[in-house]
Amino acid sequence: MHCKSFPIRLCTVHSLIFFGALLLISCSKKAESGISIRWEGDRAVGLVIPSSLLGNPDLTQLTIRLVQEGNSVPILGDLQETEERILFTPLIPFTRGESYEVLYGDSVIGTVAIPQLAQGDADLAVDEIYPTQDTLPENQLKFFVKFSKPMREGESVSHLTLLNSDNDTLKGVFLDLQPELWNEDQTILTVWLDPGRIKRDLIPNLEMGAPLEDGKSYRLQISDQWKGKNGEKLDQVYSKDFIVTKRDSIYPVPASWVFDTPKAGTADAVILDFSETLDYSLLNEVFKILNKDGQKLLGNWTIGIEEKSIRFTPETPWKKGKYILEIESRLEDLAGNNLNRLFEIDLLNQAQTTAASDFKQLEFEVKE
Amino acid sequence: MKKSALIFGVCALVAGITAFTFRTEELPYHLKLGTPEIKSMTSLTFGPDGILFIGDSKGAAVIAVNTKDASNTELQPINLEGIDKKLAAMLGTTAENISILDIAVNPISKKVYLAVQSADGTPVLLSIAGESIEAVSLKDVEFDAVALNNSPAEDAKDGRGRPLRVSSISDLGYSDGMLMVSGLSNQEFSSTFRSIPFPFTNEQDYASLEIFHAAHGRYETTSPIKTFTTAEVNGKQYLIASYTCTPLVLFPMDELKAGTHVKGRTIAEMGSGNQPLDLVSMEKDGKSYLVMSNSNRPVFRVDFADIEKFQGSLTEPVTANFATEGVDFVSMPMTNVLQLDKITDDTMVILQRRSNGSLDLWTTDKAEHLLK
Repeated sequence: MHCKSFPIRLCTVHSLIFFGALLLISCSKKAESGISIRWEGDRAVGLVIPSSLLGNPDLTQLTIRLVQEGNSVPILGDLQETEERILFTPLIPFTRGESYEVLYGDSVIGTVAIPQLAQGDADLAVDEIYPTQDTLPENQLKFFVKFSKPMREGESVSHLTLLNSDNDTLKGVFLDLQPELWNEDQTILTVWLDPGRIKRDLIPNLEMGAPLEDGKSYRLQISDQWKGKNGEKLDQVYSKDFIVTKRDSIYPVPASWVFDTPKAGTADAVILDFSETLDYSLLNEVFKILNKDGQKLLGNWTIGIEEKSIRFTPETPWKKGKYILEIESRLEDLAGNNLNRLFEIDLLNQAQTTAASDFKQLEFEVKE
Repeated sequence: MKKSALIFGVCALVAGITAFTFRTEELPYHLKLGTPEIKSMTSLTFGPDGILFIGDSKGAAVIAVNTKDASNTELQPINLEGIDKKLAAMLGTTAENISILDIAVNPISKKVYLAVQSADGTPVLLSIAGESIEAVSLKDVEFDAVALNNSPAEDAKDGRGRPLRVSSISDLGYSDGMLMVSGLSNQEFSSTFRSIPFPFTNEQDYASLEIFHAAHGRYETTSPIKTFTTAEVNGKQYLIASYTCTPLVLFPMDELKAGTHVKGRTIAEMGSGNQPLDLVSMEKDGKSYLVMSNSNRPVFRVDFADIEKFQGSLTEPVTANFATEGVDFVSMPMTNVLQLDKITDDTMVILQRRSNGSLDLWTTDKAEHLLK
């Protein structure tokens, strides 16, 4: 055994049952004697070692390692010395639930346990699965899963399953992308159904067919083993049941959308009804309202029930007159058809394309 | 006259000295000294003279860093069994809390660079030579960065192209002064491919392409590129790319111009349930090969001579036979290869999940058994 310090020696002479308890006691003692954890939010980003613990130390002798059977590898990180203390910053934050020992030469001068997250901090849930509608087209392209907290990357394949009505897991339905497609704060994951199977005439499509079939019912299931960034698990299994209908081969046409306009002088919302479900993620970004001088109105956008409508509440009351709603053409429906083109264009039938433009505009009028 | 000539001479001398002084202070490739802000490291590739390009998907940027690791050295073979466990111990955690997102070989020093990410998302850059693993510090380095997302205000101003809303940089490549970036969006199903001149300039007008894929000449989609490489076929430079919907496609480099509707020539389809992971071009006994690792297939090898000979294109409508089509490709005796890069013309470095569950990093031995 390479450890020469008191706590470790104690541990070796006691039975395993008491190992953890003793380690904790020894840790708290050490913590009292001075080594402390440096926190940044809920991440343990460093260890502060009082200089008094070492006198006049040779920093090359100071190492920190993970307490693990047979491990003697020092952790990579930075050591910074001031008059009162030495700060060790590892390359990645210390892991919750693990213990670390500080060594000077071959002697352990202290052990620190990084506590698990407190119960209340560990509540991790799925807030929503989009689309929220329970009827989806056969060529449905993607799902968005919204979590209550930032999640770990790279694990969706093992935690996300699609079940058929017999409760059998369907294989190869999702696009296994690494790295995965997360939003910036890692709370929303985009999951694609394999486009190679959706796109007609490709080998995956011909061999395995589309992932979803018209008339059948499915369950998208999320395992409770999926972990958040801090190692906490989801609080329960989540699922979304849906029925599949015929393929959607029509792109959204803004001219067919219906406005519910407010009255001048009020700050009531203008509501735009699409009469079909559009892509949740894009709905959040592609709209803009301009006044007659071409200035963008400030206000709040809210997505309606089943992502079939959107409402805009202005910060200042409406004035009488005409307004322009500008929509980025990249807005898609559930099958990936955008305002310019279908997800897949049949080259033998070119009539399916519309005049491509980056934006589409609709006009509405606010009256007295 | 003489006086003005003298004045001119003095001015020229002063200008000359000034220019010379500036030049000596200037860092190579217009890099600047400092600590780049890097939110994630999702892709790595080497440029000239030990310049490492780091694709930062979360920061929507590519950072060029001078590693100063530019002395020509012999390859030191690597055989690191259980590399995830080794790295985890060095980082003070356990293997399930780290992932290796990309590897890249410095073609000059032959060192292998690894982009590692901890469970909480902290990125770490490490380098490996032989058995020795070291952290690569990104503090006070020579660097430059290029932002990939145009700000919405910028778009509104001049309506110049569509912003590249990258959620994830799917691959990076460098060839002849051009950094190539393929991106995936977490919103729309679209393809974004840009070539950016290096050294970076303030010009934001990069070639941004929309790349399409037509299945057998019938159904066309904009298709995101998962991985790519460049190679010479029949004396012409090509981009060889693999889509998320699996076909392998050839684009002539000189046709990749901004704002054009580019359609690649499909040379092979790899079949279902599979994602292409990495593409490299290798050489052995004067023959060139394209080597490709896959998520759910063994590593494939295609002889470039077959690509050159293959005049057909799978963009033509097909008949009943829909087995794996196009050029011949040979399965190599390697499965579960997660990362692959070229070290020299005939050696590769491979990150592989072995059948016993161990994650190993190893270098191929002169590729004899691979390219039989």
